[in-house]
Amino acid sequence: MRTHTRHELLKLTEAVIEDYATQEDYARLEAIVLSDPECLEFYLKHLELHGNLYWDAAGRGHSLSIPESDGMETESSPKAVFPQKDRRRAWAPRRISTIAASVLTLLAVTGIWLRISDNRLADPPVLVETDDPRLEETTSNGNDSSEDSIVEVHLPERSPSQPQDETLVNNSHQPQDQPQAEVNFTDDQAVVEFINHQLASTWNDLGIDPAPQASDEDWVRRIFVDLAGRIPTPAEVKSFLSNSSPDKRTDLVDSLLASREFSYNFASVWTNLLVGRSREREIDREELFAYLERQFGENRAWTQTVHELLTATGSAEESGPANYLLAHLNNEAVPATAITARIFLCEQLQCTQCHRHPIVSEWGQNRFWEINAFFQQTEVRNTLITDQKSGEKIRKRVLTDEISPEVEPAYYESLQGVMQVAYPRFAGEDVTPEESVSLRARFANLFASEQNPQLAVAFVNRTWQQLFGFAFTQEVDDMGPHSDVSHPELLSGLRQAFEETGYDVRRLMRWICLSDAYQLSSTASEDSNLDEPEAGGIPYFSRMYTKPFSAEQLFNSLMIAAGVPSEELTSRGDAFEKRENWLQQFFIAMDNEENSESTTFDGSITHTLMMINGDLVQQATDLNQSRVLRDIVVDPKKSETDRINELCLAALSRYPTEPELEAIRKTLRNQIRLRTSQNIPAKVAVGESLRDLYWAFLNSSEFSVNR
Amino acid sequence: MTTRPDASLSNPDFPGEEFIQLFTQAQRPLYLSILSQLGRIQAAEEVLQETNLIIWAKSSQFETGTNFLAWARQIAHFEVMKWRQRKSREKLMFSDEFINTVAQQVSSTSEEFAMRQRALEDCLNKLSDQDRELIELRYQPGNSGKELAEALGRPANSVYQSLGRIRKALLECVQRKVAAEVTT
Repeated sequence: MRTHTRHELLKLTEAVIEDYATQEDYARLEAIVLSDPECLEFYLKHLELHGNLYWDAAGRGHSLSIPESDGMETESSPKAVFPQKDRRRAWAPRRISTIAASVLTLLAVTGIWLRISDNRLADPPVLVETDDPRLEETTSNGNDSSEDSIVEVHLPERSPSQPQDETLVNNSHQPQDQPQAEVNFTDDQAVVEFINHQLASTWNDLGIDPAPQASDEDWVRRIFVDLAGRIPTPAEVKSFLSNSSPDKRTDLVDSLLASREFSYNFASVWTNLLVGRSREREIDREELFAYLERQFGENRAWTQTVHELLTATGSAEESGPANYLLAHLNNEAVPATAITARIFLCEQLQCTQCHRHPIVSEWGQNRFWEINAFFQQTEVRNTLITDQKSGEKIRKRVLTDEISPEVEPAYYESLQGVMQVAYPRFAGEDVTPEESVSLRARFANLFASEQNPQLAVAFVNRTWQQLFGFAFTQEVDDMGPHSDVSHPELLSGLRQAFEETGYDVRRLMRWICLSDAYQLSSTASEDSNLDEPEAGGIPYFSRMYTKPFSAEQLFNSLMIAAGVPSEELTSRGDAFEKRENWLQQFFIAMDNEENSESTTFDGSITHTLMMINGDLVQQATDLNQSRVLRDIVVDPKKSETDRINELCLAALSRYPTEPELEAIRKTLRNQIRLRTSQNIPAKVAVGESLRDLYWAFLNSSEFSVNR
Repeated sequence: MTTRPDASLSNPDFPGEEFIQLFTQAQRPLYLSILSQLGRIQAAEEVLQETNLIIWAKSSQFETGTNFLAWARQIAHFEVMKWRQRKSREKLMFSDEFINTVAQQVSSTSEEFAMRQRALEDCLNKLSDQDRELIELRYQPGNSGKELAEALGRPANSVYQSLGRIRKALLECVQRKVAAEVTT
């Protein structure tokens, strides 16, 4: 059963159980259950659970209608499902740090033993304290996080506004547009306070205690990884820690937003979103990257960037933005349609290509094809161009439009097999072709404007997710009437602020990075187990969620850990080329209708081996190549404690805790003793042991996580 | 278990002790199979009452030694169909095809039934106090999600959502436990 179906089935069954299902829900449920024995099984278990709960709790057994059986014990099992109020057994989230655990394992390999204190890091998705060893065995294996690995979901309730109300299902299906008249959205401070107020009011309603402030060490690492796409250098951490200005966080946010690394980082994030990471497609990825870097560097309005991406013409090598459509015009522009909706609107239209959306009944097939029709005049032309230097003929792919007043509609087949036509139509406007303007240019005019509020909603949702790890919707790019928004007023307010400030990308990020929630620690305060989006709950942003590094963040951070100057990372040329090549090992393009990619950058063996003995880690831990390691090892003035402190700082952007320091010191001495006993010269033994320590830091999960 | 041997001895039409025992043991599985064909608690309750009357009336037709539950389920299925006909104007109902498929499937999957029931008990204990309380309230006699929402002063949708998540968690927990038990 596919996750999508399973999810839908769950929802429909719930609707039946709680008696709010419509006739259509019944029909849909039947269709799913009858289509697949596994679905039938799942449905039966759900109903069985419901029935059992009802049977026991409602004491159903005592009201049999047959008079003769009066007073009989009707239970076959003596125990009712609800045991009496004996519920003292506490099952507080256990504080296993996955990171500590993995460090231990890895350290065992090198023979070093190190104790990382438990609560340095955020808790992993909550495991449940249990007396049953079997259950534990099946649940503690949290890494293959399939849907089955969720142990317990604590069930927060949804904030009062309920997207499920039918009144909400209007065409701009996102949060209700209540006038937020009292907030001046063009004032930065007011927006930040608005975010704080919105989040805090939910915390109050639900009695959630927000986590304490993040330490400066944690925060400085967080902001560098989020905005610059890499860990800070030891010098950057030290300078931040020693800065006593009360505005130092604001100052750092501003300086990072203005940096070259910021535009480089977000260009890289958006290149991946737009055309994927694989280089197998016939496009010029680097041109697109360069274009986006300019857009972010000059802080262009988001509408402008989107408009240009949708209207660009020219060859892959000469026109950066043209690469977006050059990558997706295959298959009658089906990928272009689906990806445009998913990336820019956070809406999953791809299934409406073939049938009405299964949950959102107003998303018919026509909606998909009406957008698709805008791309009908656009084509990729292969031309041979003579290279002026070499005289060789080069094949070029050029994006162009066949502008004509005669529109060729999009044809599609309905589920019943009837051929249908769709004419270009968007945001309630029918577009008729004109002599001089391409259809997609007309589309872009409607799409990248306030006529399409979803563009701003989607960008806010995605940016929020990039910075917090969770979006306002369960899946960042599956918005619509069917998906609940955790903070509708907040999303709507940020949308308004984003629009009113002219789609200012940096300001949006600045507001979020300066909000109270972004300052919080990723270690939850006791009892805040209501806020567990990792376990499938609604995110309340009462703490920072830990985010695993993206492949790019990991690459950049390993380079920093090896002492490569940060300026070198953003020079396109060798560094870009090296990174691109390195990434290829993890990503494979798929030529399906969504032009998607598959990845092994997910804790797979490839991923793990890369960390254990890949080139980058080798380089970072090589005494000759790693500037960081060499400086720390060679300097004769440094004490043992200085060295341990600095290695920890270089890898994890923090100093070790007292117990960690003690443990490391002990192991380090044992290591040195062991080596010297094998007749290895003392100097070499010290160097090698420190190298192993650094390797262990880099291989700890703490290193690859943004906390 | 208390029975009334006097009644059964004095009345030849009255089912014997064994029958009564089978009858009482079958109540829960019978209810569950009716519920899965109808979807709604109250409707299933009504049909169970009617089914029980028929079972009782036909008790003499039951052959000792054959599968009581299978026999009772057949009667129940028949009663479900009858109930459907009576309520034919009711729109919120499953189709014959669905009901038949479900009825058939229910009768073939019962081995792990007791295991799941035990697992559920454990899983309920693992809920947070808050969740546990909500689910207990929901299943108070006569309560429904809607009434619960009114009583709590929360929007119905929000209560539905909470209940849905708790049940989902329970389902997953039960499934895991049973899987663990089967493999060990």
